[in-house]
Amino acid sequence: MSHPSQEQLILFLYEESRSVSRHLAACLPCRGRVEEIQRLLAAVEATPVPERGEAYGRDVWQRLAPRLPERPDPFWKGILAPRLAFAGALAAVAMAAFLAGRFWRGGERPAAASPSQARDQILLVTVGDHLERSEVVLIELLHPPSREAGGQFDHARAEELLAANRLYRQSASAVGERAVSDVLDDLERVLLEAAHGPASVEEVENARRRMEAEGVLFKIRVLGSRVRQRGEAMSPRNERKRT
Amino acid sequence: MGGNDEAAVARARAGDREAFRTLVEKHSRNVFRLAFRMTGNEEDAEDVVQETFLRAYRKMPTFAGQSEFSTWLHRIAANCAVDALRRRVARQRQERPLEAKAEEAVASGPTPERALFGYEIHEQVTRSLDGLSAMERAAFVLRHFEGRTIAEIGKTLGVRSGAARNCVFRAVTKLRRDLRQVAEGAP
Repeated sequence: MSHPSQEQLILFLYEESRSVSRHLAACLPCRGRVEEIQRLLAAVEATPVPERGEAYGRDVWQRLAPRLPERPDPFWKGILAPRLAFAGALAAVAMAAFLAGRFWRGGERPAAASPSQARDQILLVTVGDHLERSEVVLIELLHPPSREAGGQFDHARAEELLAANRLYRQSASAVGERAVSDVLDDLERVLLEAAHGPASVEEVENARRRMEAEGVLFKIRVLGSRVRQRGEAMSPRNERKRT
Repeated sequence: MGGNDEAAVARARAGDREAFRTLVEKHSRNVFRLAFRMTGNEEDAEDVVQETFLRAYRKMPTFAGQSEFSTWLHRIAANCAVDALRRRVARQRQERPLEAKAEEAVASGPTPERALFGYEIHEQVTRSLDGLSAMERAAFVLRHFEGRTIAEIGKTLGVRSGAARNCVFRAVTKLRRDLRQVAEGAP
């Protein structure tokens, strides 16, 4: 009798699966594993959430009201936004290239928040987001979801990340940030394989081995942490705390 | 649109602040609950609540009423929480490597019996949840506490269903590993 994988047992708790259900009906050890996971989830669920009283909504409103704009964003903004997304992305990339020197080099910042600081922070968040999404893709490449569980590697997403990564790498390279561009270069090669394949089991193994040997995942985690830390250091909240 | 939100939403979409106030007062506690589940921290959760309603107010005219207002609001809250988590996870990774946290969890772990059933489990669970990535924690909370489908989680977090499913799986796997480690490592 072949037993369901841990992944199948966990996903069974969230999504009906006739094959797993049939197996559990006949297999005591696997039922025990499912019950163990259920106990774990019950323990997590039992973690208390601090109570908020009846007046909480009023408190929230009192803090919120002064921050609200006079009126909501106009309706056309919501309609046009998706259509302008592509153009916006291009503009963001152009801005990234423009700000790249300041971004990668960092350095002293003026004490008061300025529009350029705000733009830098947006860029830091964007790059941090890119690295985190890349990390998710790389982890999926290392531990692909089983086909039985309905999972498949997302090549299209890897391709999107690849396009963005090229631009960030070029920006870093253009301003002489070799360490950063090297990490992005490593990431790019893995994303390239992830986007266009791999076609066979052997190629998957080769990609994994190379990725592990080069420590790409570790490198982008470190870089991501640094980028996010700088973004966090520039956030208005921290600015306030410092002043 | 359930829960008598329809009239207030229609007025709020037209810029009626009093109507929006009604919605804020009605939904704040649920938004806080979700925010706390996702961030595990009261201060961050309060920030998420504020940011959620601020974004919701700005976006009100785009709310088409195709889903419940509360569902739409929770989607915004989940994204605000993910943003907050990303900032915090990065900070934590920088300040204290996960390995050190795991060792610390084992060193301070309760007995196996208490680890699974005692009150100290809450602390261990909190620590373990803090070890998840922003996406994993968000996906887990949305699936487990909010009862969202995998497709809805993907839509909320801006990833494909396969990636959302993978995030939930990895979250449960990590929780299982961490909590088991605590139990086995205790004296």
